[in-house]
Amino acid sequence: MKIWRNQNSEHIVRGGITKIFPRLWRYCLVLTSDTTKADDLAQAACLRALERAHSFEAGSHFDRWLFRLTQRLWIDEIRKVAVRRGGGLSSIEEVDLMDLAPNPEQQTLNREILMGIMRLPEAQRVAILLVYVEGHSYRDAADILGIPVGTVMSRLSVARGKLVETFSDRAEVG
Amino acid sequence: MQNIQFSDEELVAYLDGEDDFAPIDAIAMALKTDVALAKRLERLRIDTHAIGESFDAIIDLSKAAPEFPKSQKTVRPYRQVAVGAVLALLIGFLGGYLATDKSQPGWKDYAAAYHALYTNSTLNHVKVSASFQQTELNRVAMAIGKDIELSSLTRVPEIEYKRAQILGYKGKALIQLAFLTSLGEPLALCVIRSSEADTIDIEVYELEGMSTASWVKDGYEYVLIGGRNRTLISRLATAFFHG
Repeated sequence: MKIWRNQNSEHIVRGGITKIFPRLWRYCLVLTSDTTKADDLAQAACLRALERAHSFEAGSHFDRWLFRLTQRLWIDEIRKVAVRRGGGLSSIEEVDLMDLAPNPEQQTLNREILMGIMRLPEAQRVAILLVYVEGHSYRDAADILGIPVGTVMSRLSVARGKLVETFSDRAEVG
Repeated sequence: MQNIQFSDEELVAYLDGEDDFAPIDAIAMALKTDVALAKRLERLRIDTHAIGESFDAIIDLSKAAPEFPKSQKTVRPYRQVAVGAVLALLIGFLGGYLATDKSQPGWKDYAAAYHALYTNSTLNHVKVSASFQQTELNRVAMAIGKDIELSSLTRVPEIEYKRAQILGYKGKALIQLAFLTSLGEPLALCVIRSSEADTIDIEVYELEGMSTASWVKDGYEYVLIGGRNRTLISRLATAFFHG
């Protein structure tokens, strides 16, 4: 039975990766602030997920499992190297977000909002992504990040304050 | 009610509808009379819909999920083994056919073309600590699911290990480990996951005018390339093969 379970888990993980890879890559971009590093992290996360497919419980939330695994991979292993090499603190100007939408006005607005969020500290922008983009509850976001709910609330609160300040002259945000 | 103090965290939770983490009723009641509270709330209000739309645009920038090889460790039930055997035969025939079609460049050709751009200056300036090299190696090797100890690269004589990086071929990760020979020539050991059977011998030949050695071992295909000294490449390949 264990054999079947392992195979089933790997099958589910492979299918899940294919399905949510764009969201995973976006999460990696928010973590790393760099498209190349996002490529590397997303790829490494997928391989790690396949290696640990046996630990995924069928019927549970695959995206939360994969995001949690990616978060730990980034924090515990990859970010250290990036920071030591001086490449872990790259500014958002280096991120290629030029062709976001066909409509120039919408594209400009999207880019300004993204830039505003991506300029936040990593912990705050990740909290913003998980709660306001991915739609996770505070509890689920805390679970993915491995931190208390109160810390998620604190990060969101500070981030919102900064965003309102940044976009205080814009009607669309703040 | 105006004397009740709510934290920014509670106000944000109120805006987000997180009932478990905000005194929703108390805040709603206070807002009816507390102008200062209403102003505080406005200073925390953002358009989460606009944020969602902006981030949805990022989705368009992402690539498709890369293809990853099937697990080598999974034990297969009998029925799947039988199906796998038939598929393996078909793939074997097809693979053999394609392998003879030299007009189609494969990953080795691309790796060789990439390495052909290397000069001594590409690597000569790389001087980092062993701990940094091992950490970098861990990150890079992870891309192909392999553990590589720095010592296995530094103990090979006649060459100095410099750096590791992740490359890709048709969505499949491969890694390039770069070295300089004692004469200052750049060499590269490229490794990619493979479902091919282990090779008995190391094959030595030329690619892009450079001496090249390749072999398959334990689910990985290796290419060592650089310079024009076939004897050196053969000797180094043997050291890696048995290392």
